Amino acid sequence: MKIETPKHFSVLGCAPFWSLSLDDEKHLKAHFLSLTRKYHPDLLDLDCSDKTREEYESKSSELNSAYLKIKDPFERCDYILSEVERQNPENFSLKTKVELPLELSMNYFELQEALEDGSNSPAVRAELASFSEKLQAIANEESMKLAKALSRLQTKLDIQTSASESGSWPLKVDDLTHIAGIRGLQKYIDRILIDIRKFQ
Amino acid sequence: MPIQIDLGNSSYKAKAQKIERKGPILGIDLGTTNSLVSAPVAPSGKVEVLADVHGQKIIPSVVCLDSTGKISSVGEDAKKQKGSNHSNVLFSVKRLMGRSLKDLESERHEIPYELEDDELGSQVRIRVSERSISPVEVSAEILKALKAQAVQALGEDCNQAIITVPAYFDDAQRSATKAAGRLAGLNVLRVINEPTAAALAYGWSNENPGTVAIFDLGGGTFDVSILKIESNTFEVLSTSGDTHLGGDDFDRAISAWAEVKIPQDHALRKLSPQQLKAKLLVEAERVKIELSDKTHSTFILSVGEDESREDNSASIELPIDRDLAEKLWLALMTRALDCCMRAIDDAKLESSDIQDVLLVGGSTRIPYVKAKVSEFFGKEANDSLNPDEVVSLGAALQGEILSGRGEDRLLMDVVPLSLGIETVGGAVSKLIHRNSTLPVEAREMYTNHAPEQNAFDLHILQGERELAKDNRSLAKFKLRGLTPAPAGYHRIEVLFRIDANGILNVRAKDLRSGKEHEIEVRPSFGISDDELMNMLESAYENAEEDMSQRQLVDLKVEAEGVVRAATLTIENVKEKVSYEELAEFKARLIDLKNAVNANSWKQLREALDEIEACGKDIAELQMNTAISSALKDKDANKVE
Repeated sequence: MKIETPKHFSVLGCAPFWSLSLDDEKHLKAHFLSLTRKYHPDLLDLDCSDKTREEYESKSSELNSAYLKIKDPFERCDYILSEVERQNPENFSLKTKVELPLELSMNYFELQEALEDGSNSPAVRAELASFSEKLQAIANEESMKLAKALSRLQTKLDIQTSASESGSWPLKVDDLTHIAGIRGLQKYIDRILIDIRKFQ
Repeated sequence: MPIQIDLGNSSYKAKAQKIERKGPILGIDLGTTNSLVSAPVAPSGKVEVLADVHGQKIIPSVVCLDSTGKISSVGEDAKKQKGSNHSNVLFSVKRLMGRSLKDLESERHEIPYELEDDELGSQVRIRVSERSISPVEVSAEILKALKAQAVQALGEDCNQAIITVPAYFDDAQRSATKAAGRLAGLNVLRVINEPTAAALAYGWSNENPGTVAIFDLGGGTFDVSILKIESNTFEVLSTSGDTHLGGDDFDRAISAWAEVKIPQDHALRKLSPQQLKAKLLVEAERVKIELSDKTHSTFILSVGEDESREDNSASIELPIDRDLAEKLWLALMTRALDCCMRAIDDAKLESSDIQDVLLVGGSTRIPYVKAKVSEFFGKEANDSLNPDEVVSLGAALQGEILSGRGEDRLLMDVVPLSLGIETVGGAVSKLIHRNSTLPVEAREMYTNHAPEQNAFDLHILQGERELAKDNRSLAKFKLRGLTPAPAGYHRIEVLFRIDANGILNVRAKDLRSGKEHEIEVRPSFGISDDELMNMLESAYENAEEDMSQRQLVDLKVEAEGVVRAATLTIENVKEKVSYEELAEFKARLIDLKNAVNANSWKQLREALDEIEACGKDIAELQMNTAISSALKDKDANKVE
């Protein structure tokens, strides 16, 4: 499956994937800043034409919007996935089944019941704390998995350099489904964590 | 104020006005209490604060009118009238910029002059004797005085300026500030955020200051901004603030405390409430300033101006010390520190990541403020900059960047408030999130939901709240002139862009029609471009009349459409709704028809709103009848 280079990536002229390490974020930022210096309307001559000003302002806005969207590694990942879905709705869907490990699901179910009954006993609170710890541990594990999956994908794409030059990315549905599954679970956990934080 | 964009022709092209540029670019700090102007000074070209012939740099932001409502003095002379000639002395008008009566509801009791809404209900006007004056006009007088001071100091004419605004100013307040500049004959190249300007001045010749916080507590507003200053790039990471928190509020806290201490039968109580308020505030400010140097002060108030009079019954003396004042100010300080917390969170930092905390604004001279800020950030706050001058210096430095003398320095600021659009059910869909780097844009696609739908409404909002009604309404756009086509046929792309001034520009583009027509509208608030131009050319009263005439014509067209649609609906639904409902609806229709003939914008708007509210249920019943599209085509227009 080939997808057209998503807009924010073509605006920034950047490689598609990065690992989740912070070094890469710095690299991306330096790249963004150098482009900004090239297109920022403030650096134009005050007497330049309205047309030129408009072009620079437009380019600069696009750069800012693009950087905002992909600077965070998780949001970047979600953006790529949503682009794949938009371009290939028949081959790829973001709707993946999300499941917690069975033991945790049961745990969550019981906790919900206790909380809905208005119980706020120390026992329930302790249970809540240990439950969120377990969730957090899974979330961290998933982040590691995601980092690995993304860097594998990046390597694959790097090998096919000629393909990326042609303005499209060759991607495998399986790889993306795997990544979408991880992201789905992470988001699900985030929601639960936000939910139970209300009770803590 | 609904702005109508006709998709059929580009009649609403923004009017680009080019004024010939003269002289160096002025950096103007248009403050709530005090204003200053800076510029590069020959021969060195170094940016300096400009003074008048007496060496006086500060121009108090005070304007005095005579009994006929004409401007009689500005600045220091006007300030001297404060307290005695209270009703004609206008101060702290910055708080009223771009604000309607409704916006000011909660603090109206604090404002010592009479306010009224303008014809459109979008900008308050100040009632002075027989005349009323808008805050934009008052601000323009202060700007004229600053410009005159600059021309005198520089020895050459100049008409370009950068004006600072609180970072937390919204679109309407920024637009009003820009309008004031134009009214004063200035070509406003940029409105720049005050804390950012301060950061420019601080980091201009400072190699790599790193991550800094600017704590800017002025006379009427509070801002906090977190910046990263590195290799000539000034990048604002986040900003937060409160446009109604400043030194004025510290005065008010003291004044409120003193007021309750005055016995009910005291001679001071015989003064008019406004006279008493003005007197209390003047004394409160004096006490506040005294407490910055001394630990004890006395609040003294007398009925007459004659201090020598030995009539104790006509005056009061209240001892006050720092401890007491700090108790009165605790709530204000908490509000400021909450903003700091949010700014740090938004920048995804911890307070320990901040390498330096700069104090800006006259109110940071209060020892209590400095102590609390130092405590919050866990380091001694930096008060080495002149808190009054640094903002205007920074504005002039931004002028250096724009004129190409910035030696590769670049400033990247952010939008203070999120921008969104009202969706079905009065919720807000966010298009641009707060703290996005400027300029920034978002695109949305819209389509028609019925063949006969020829227009739809966009309601643009600014703020962080979930519901449309809790946010500030920026503009209501009506996109109209769609040709009849099957539902879902049209593809209208709307581009929302916030420019480097933090001001919104909206364009709509019909992607389906063969030729691309692009419509650009720069919504202005309080004062429209047309209105401003008329103000510049001729008498203000005429301009406003023209303005409301145009608005009235537009609204009449809308109303006539609704009358037709409503008449049709009554025919269609009369079997299906209760007699009472129908009677009510008919009554509203008659009101509307009367309003169309009455030639009053306000009456017409009200009648339209009423029939809209009343017709909602009926329209729902007949979702596919003409009224639903004519009345409420703003619902459910968004393409997912």
